[in-house]
Amino acid sequence: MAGQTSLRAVRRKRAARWFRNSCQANFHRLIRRTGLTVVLLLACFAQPALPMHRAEAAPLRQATFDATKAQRATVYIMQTYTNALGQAVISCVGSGTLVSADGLILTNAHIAVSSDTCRSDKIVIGLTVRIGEPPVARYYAEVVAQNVGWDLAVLRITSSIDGIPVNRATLALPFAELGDSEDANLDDTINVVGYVQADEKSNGAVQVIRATISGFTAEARVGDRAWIKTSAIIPGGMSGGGVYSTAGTLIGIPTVAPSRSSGQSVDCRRVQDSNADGRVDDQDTCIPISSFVNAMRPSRLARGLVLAAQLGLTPSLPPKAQPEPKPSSPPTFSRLFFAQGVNQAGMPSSVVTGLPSGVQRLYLFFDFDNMVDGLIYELRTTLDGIPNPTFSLAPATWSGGRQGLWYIGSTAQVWPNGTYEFTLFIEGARIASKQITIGGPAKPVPTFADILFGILNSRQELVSTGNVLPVGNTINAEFVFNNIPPNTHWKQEWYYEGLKVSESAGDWTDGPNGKRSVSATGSAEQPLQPGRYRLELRIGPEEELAATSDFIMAGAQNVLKTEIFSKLSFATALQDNQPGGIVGAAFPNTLQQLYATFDWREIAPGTPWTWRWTVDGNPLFEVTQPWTGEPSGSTFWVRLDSRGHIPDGSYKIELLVGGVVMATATAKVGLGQLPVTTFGAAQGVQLQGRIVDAETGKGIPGVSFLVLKTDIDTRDFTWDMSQVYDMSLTDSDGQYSLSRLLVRDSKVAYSIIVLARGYLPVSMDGLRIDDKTQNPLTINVELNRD
Amino acid sequence: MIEIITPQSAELNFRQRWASYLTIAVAVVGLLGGVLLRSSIIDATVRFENKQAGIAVRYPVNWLLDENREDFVLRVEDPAATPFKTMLQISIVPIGQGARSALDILNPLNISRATSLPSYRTLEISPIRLPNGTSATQMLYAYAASEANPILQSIPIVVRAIDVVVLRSSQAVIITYRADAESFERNQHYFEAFLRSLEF
Repeated sequence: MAGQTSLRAVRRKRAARWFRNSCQANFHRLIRRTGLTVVLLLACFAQPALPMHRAEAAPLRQATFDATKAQRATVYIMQTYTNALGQAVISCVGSGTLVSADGLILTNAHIAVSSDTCRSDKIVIGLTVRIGEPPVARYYAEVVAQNVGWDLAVLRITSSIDGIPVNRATLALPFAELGDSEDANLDDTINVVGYVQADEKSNGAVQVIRATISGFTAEARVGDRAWIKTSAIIPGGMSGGGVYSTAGTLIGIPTVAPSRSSGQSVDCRRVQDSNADGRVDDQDTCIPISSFVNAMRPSRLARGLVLAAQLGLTPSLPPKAQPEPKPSSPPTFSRLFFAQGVNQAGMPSSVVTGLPSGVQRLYLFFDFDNMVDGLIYELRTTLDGIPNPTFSLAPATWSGGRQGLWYIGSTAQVWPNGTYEFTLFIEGARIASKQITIGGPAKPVPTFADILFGILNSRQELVSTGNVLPVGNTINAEFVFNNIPPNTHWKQEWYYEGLKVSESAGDWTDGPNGKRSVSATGSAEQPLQPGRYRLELRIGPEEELAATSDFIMAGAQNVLKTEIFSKLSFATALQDNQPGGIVGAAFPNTLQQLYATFDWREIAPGTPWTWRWTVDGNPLFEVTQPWTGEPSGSTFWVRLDSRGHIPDGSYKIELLVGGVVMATATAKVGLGQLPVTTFGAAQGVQLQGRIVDAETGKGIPGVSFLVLKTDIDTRDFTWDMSQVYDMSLTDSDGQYSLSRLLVRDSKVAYSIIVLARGYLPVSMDGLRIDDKTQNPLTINVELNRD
Repeated sequence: MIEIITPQSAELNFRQRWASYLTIAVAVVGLLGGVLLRSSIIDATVRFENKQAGIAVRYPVNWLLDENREDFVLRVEDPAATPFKTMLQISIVPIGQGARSALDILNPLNISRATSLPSYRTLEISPIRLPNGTSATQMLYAYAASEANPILQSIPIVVRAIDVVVLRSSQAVIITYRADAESFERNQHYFEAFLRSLEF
């Protein structure tokens, strides 16, 4: 009986198989005979024999962090050089993030830019082909934009690993969208994505670490949000990778420079016989290893670099007559003090020696001298003797120039009570430290604050206040004072280029609170010179520093304003050092270069000045550097260079001194507006999956997976490529992945055709992608043999 | 009692003989018809015409047509072929008055292909005569085709290919056939039929 039942079951199965096979055969014959291109097997099979499995739509919103997408957009960067035997030697490694489909990569400058510790002639890019597996070297890239001080760089993929140049227009790589780091708040959840060092515990695959924002670190020349801090422990190998908001956009770049001592990496790995002497020893290249990352550069700083790379623009200036000599003395940090506020010029509001409970803002100021851009500096903070990473600054690259005033601070969070010790390091060596105690109630203490410099008008009022004064023989300043007891000893000291040039002391007679003016005058024999000045106000019998501010004397007074730069205009060429070609403010979009020329007067050598390019209001380049030209002259220039043609847009140049815009002009190129595609975003769903043999379950290589355009269904398809939205071939494991993203629009439907010789084709109409469709969307297909 | 049955004569009568002949004939006709039908299905072609380029040709039905790109006038691929999509292509390149032979076209073509196709190797260059009597130059070459999508991991495929270069006034017509090395000769009849149908 059991045998009969079994036989009946076998017969029923055979009948079902016969019906299915004959049905398949009929349709297949139909294809061949009539040339029909599509078979709707769903309609053919009584049983669900169409071996197609559509991924169920998961209830996910589009604006959420997608770990797979972020991991796919993360790349592994290897700097390499060729040794004497022609072997490739890896000198530095790190993470990066693809920020455009055509192969722009955002990473740390110390990972990508060749240096003494990271010698390189080629940059190799590895991709995550399979999640959970180590990266695979796929491309070579080159640096197209960089800011060493911010430790950010943008690379562009140039060729495949076998040296074949890539067609960037067809690359279609997975990428991350830049988000707005200014929207990030304390305690926000973030996801850090990058590669960890391969060791006994890890195979070196890309990792995602969930963390929270624990604070923001301020730094001179960048502002209050120069760094985003996290208390999570992030491996140093993830430096250069991506920090994603919960909305899935890239809001930061994990950044930590490898610790160095006397120019040599403190931690590094020797893995290759780089000098080909038959052994791996101290003489071989050592790959630097960063310590743990707890700070991220905000994406705001990267936006200009990425935009410049997208537009193919680079800035340039006249070459220096002679390179600046290296300092003969070792670098130093000195005159450490604390302040609770910073003005627009980066100067402290007032000097504090202790603070009450509940303080949210605190800045450590210090003078620097003999510094060289590229040195690694670090701030380590302890609270009551215990290291406090939240208020520390991990090793960072110096870019402030040789001499001046710098600050590091922390805002937007309450500083816990206790005694803090701030210790500064240069190249791993301890340089200076300073303590401050926070706690207790607020007490009224004598205070000088908010020093401002300006020009006196006819009513003897200070106008055009700031930290820039025209060259003249009198300096006028004013400051705010509070809680000053009568007859308190106070003192004003004036400095020029670091040397004290004047001082005066006395007893206070101006009341407890208010505003007071001070001035300094040059003598007829020694008039005041253009350059950098400093005013220090001291108070009490110990003459403690109470307020200080640097200012710049440059240019000339024009009515009641300081004029340093004049005749700022644009030209397409320079002829005999004069603006030439097309001169004016409107230009065709066929330019390869755009000059901004200007005259200048009374700028002392070494005076810091800033030039800033923007396009359509978006930052492109901002560089602060010491003035190296003659004190006065005409037709200094800064230039925009393009790899092809300067794109349409409104290009604005701003010249700043002391944080104040001294001159500005705008040039309109072409339509005066950037092409819309420039800001195209990665919108849509990635379609991927695997195609296998229904009998063996093994992947079938070389299968065509076609997605038709939304206005074409399988019955209308005439085997014309113009009707195909995208096409992918399966790899050796049967995996496929479309290069183009499917648009989220529930009103349209895609059709799919899967075919390979020796197998019955499969097709499907009506694939809809809406806001709830999971990304990436996985469709696995089983093919039956023909 | 045993009844002995004498067997009937083995000789077929007229009706039986003709029934056998008819059966065999029907079978042969059916077989021929099947073969013809099969070959008509397999060799079915579609006519392509580009008046601007002055080219007309027939290509296999159900091959994927791509036309009027920058670097070719026509490209058809067999989408069902695995692992490499057998391809036929016609491209037209302008030539200067100084061009004297097909080598003036093939040399720059070789250089550009060497920089874009991995392991590119030229195998043979020889003169040929097309089915319509036109003189042409044929170049055989090979390269390793690899998947462009970096997310996919494929074994490189050895591709064999033929370029046939025909000079006409100020243009050179390049007819290309590419197939994976294993099926190159098996599929070459597509190329030969393609050449036979070519009008320019």
